[in-house]
Amino acid sequence: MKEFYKAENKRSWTLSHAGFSSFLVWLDQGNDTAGESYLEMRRRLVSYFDRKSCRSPDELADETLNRVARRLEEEGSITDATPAHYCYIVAKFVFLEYLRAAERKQISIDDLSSSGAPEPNVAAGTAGDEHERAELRLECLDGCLQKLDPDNRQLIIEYYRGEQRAKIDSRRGLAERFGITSNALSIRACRIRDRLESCVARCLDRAGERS
Amino acid sequence: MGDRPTGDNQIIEYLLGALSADETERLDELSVADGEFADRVRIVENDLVDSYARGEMPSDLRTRFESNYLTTPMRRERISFARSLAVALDRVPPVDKETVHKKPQASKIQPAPTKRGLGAWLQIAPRLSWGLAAAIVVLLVASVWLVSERGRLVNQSRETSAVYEALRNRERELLEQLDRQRSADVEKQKELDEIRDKLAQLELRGREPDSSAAKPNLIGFTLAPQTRGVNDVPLVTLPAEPSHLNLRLELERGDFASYSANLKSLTDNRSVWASGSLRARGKGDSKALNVMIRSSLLKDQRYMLEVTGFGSDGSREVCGTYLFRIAREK
Repeated sequence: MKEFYKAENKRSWTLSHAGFSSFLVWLDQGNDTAGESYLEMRRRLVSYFDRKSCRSPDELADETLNRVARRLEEEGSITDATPAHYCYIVAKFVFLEYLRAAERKQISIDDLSSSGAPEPNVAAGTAGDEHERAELRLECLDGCLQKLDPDNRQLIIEYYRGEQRAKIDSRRGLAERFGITSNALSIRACRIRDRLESCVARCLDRAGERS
Repeated sequence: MGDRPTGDNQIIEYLLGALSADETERLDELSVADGEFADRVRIVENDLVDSYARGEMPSDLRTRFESNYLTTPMRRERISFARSLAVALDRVPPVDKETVHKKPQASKIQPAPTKRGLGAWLQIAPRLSWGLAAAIVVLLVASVWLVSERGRLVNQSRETSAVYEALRNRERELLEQLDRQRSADVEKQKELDEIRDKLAQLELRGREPDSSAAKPNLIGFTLAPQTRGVNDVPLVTLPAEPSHLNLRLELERGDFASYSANLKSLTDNRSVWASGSLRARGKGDSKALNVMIRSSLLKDQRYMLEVTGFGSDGSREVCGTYLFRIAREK
């Protein structure tokens, strides 16, 4: 699939430093987010391509952002859509190209979801291997939790404390203590969780092992 | 998983791939283009994943979740992470909630034993008592400072929230204005295209030699690119007498220098007509091509019109396919 994208990108083009800076400014829409807008948009695109059962959601997300940045650098400005909406338009087109390429290569729908039949038991594999992986993941997670600043660590611990009804009540109380709405609390917890997931993934990569 | 607003139930169905194609596409767009909706999807998805990882998901939902959600390595990894997170957080001892983000209480000074009096205290343990007094003073000062600082931060947080809400409202207003403007532009473009079609029709009538036979009709039709299954094929009805079919092809991508269109019969996959070089009309998201095909070339069957875009560097790329079915009036 990598060869397909290289073949499609016929012009030899690389994004300059100035071009990337302009791209970040355009994404920020006047608010300096220090690159957070880029990371957030990339995350949304990865989720979009994953929901479409694409083989390499990260690569497709990067391809989308590269095309948007290239268009911006070549045109100077993009005014017919908001940055987020324009990224979606390009992503849709990238997805259609991906589908056509898959049809041309006669890849079956099962192959497109990369693993074929869904696995009802996520802990498939030998019991010993899975136990080792789980232990390593837990070790990484403990380390990543310690890297959070104390407020965020406290928030994530309290947010996921309890079960079902007790958890809902606990979150309401937590939001009141932090002086924010329940929705704002959930968003903040999601962002912290995303950081933890990324940290654990990097830790597992360093350990040379992913489940 | 508890009671959920209607919106969240729809998001669950979206994540499980159970919505219609149109609704899925609408939410796909929102999940990328709308920050609030993207956050909401993320929250609902995390709750769904946690519910499954902790074994709290109802059985009917679990079956659908396993069949429709756990279909990619990325999603299965999320389940593994959720299980690890549950184990890691359950190991952390509970924090005394009363000590979190609450106003610190000023220590109460224990009264001196009445039997002995303050003087006796000073005589018996002078250093300890002066140290204790100093500590109490420091604590009082710190308490006052913490209270005032907390008040300032709460006010600042409220102001920031108010500014944030105001900016979000203004953003919504501007987006609504942009949408209205776009709708107006699309309407004007449609009107312009209709006028052009009528002009083309008049021009055709002007070119055709005067004859006692009925002059050919011009039939106009607009097609959108085919992105989903072949079940929703538009039907184009042609009159029995000779006519020309003027197709307006909406483009998903209108930034090629030129285009060409090739018409194929879906019965035998044979090419029945090809255009010359075409240029897109319109602007922004509303670009389209116009092609005119003699009705004598068309039979009662399905056709596919394939559009190829040509870049200024000579590159070419198929940028849209349009399906339609012909039926003639008797």
